[in-house]
Amino acid sequence: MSIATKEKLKKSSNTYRERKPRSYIMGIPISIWLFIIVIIPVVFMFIMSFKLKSGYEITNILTFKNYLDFFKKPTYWKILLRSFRMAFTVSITAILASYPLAYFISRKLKKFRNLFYMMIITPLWVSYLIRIIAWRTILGNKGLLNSLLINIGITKEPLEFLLYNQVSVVIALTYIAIPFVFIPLYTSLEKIPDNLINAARDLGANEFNTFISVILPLSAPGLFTGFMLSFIVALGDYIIPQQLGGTGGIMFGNIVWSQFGTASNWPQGSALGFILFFIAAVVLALTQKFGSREGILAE
Amino acid sequence: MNAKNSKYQIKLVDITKRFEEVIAVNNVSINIKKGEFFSLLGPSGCGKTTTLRIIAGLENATSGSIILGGKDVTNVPAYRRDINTVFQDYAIFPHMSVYDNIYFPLKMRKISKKEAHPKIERVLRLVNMNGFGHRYSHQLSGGQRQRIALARALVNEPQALLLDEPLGALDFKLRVAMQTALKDIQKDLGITFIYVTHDQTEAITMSDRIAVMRDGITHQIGTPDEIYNKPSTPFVASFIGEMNFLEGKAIKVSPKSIEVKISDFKVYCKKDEYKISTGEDVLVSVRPEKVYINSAEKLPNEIESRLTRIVFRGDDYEITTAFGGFELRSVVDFKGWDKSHKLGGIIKVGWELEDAKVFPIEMKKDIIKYG
Repeated sequence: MSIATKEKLKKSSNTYRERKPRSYIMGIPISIWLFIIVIIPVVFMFIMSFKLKSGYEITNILTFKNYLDFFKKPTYWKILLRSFRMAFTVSITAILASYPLAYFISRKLKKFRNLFYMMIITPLWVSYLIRIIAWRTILGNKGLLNSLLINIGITKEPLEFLLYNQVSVVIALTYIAIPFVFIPLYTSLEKIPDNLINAARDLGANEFNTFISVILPLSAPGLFTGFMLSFIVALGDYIIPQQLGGTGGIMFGNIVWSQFGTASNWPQGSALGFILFFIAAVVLALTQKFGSREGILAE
Repeated sequence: MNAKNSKYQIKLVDITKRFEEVIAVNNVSINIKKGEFFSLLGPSGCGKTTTLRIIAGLENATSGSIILGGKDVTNVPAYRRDINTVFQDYAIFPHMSVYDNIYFPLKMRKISKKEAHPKIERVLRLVNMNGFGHRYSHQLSGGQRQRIALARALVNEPQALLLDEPLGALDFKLRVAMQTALKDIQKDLGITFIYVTHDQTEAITMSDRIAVMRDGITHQIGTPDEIYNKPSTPFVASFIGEMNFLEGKAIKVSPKSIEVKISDFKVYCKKDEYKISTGEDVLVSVRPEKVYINSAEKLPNEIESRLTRIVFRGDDYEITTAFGGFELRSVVDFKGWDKSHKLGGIIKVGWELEDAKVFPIEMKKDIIKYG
């Protein structure tokens, strides 16, 4: 996220400066703010990631060991790859769930549009932790879902695979990601002028072709933004895997977290954190490149 | 197919469209001939665009039916109707190049790119936009977008082309140039054009026939000449061109004329489709350019009137006079105006019998007042 904001700031202040020579004054407060809460901590973390830990001491000797360890230990990159796969699954599932919803609310619904919109983003107001614990009570052995399945006789024993594995982590992460995907999708779908859709119909496109050749390409910016947001939210999460993942469901975030916590190896944690940071930046850059058609409906 | 069927290409039969409580189109029946330039004219909110959308299939009529080329298409969806539309905001797909925009309707008919290419090139030439294929909507001016929208709507050679105020967003000079271009294209291709506009001048100059609408009702369908010279309601009379309205009482009704007392003067008016009986209050209408000032010839209707306003308009003068509580405007060409007339002086104004039309007084509410 921080890179996104930084990049945006850079972009906008550049274009702004071209037009008005002295308007950078307006950017000073936000720059100071960003410097304090984003840049300084990142720089500290970056320096920390090169420090050598010997025994219980963090020395001032600089080394690449922390980064090299990542490549040496297969568990690290195996879990990183798994986290990738899970974040990707989460993003795709969240898009598949949000797209019809966003499409229906933004384009088909005439009344109560705002009400539905609010209903979808309301979960964002509830504590993150509470929502995760709630999933435990839904997916657990004596949880809502299993009780229901047993009561209506679909299964005799509670389904074990619902909780403490990758499935439960993906379900909960998808749930968390849906509003983040829904909002940009809704916005880009709502912006499509009715007459473009009318024109497609008029020129011989049925519902399906109208969707494929007009609505889908014009909602692409929202699709990319939604994908990016949910991917980053899912990739970096460690609370959901910790609470719902059991042993098989841990993600890269948990490893980073454990380095700062139980292992108390800050330099190693910083290096791993930086690797995640770098990957997120690459994903961001890629989606910005493909998603940079936001101006398509602007003019 | 008999001769009567082929004469009309599009038939609207008792079309009504209700939006909840509002009746947007009220029992409209229009027959449009093949190759005709037909305009739907009316102030905003009169139902003309809704009517057009019903023809296109973008809106379903509440009742009534639409016949296209002898076939009932009332329940045929827009994408299967052989009619295309040029939208008011052009609706060029912003994510496609001009070329792909024009290829779109052909692609929907599963025509290969190779087969489509000459058609696309031809239609681009037709609208004078050859060489613009690779551009995108945001790289075009308003007038160019308009041409592309036209090309895209024409490339499939539809039975009819619908145009929804296509020139509304253009500035005056460009609008006039596009009017000519549109009319030329329509003549060349011989495609039926149905043109929606609120601009009476545009409708009068371009159309073969016009339907004048208000509040969902067609007031009159006819050629520009009929609409202008024989308006069938005070609304049509006041909406198209300028019109003087005077109130009086019918004092004698003959088979061909009506004698009306307006203020202290007696005037003779043409008897038309409205039944007027002696003693009835009436509305007399006469166009400013048919009101003559100090005519050398003896006119059947002459009134002494006080000169109240002189407006010079470049090639003519608009002269306003007042008598008995009424205002009467007339148009005098530049050479015909005697500059010795002074404001407040009494001058003789008059008009021919056939230039004055009488409406029943109840229709007074129909008159459109601007400002």
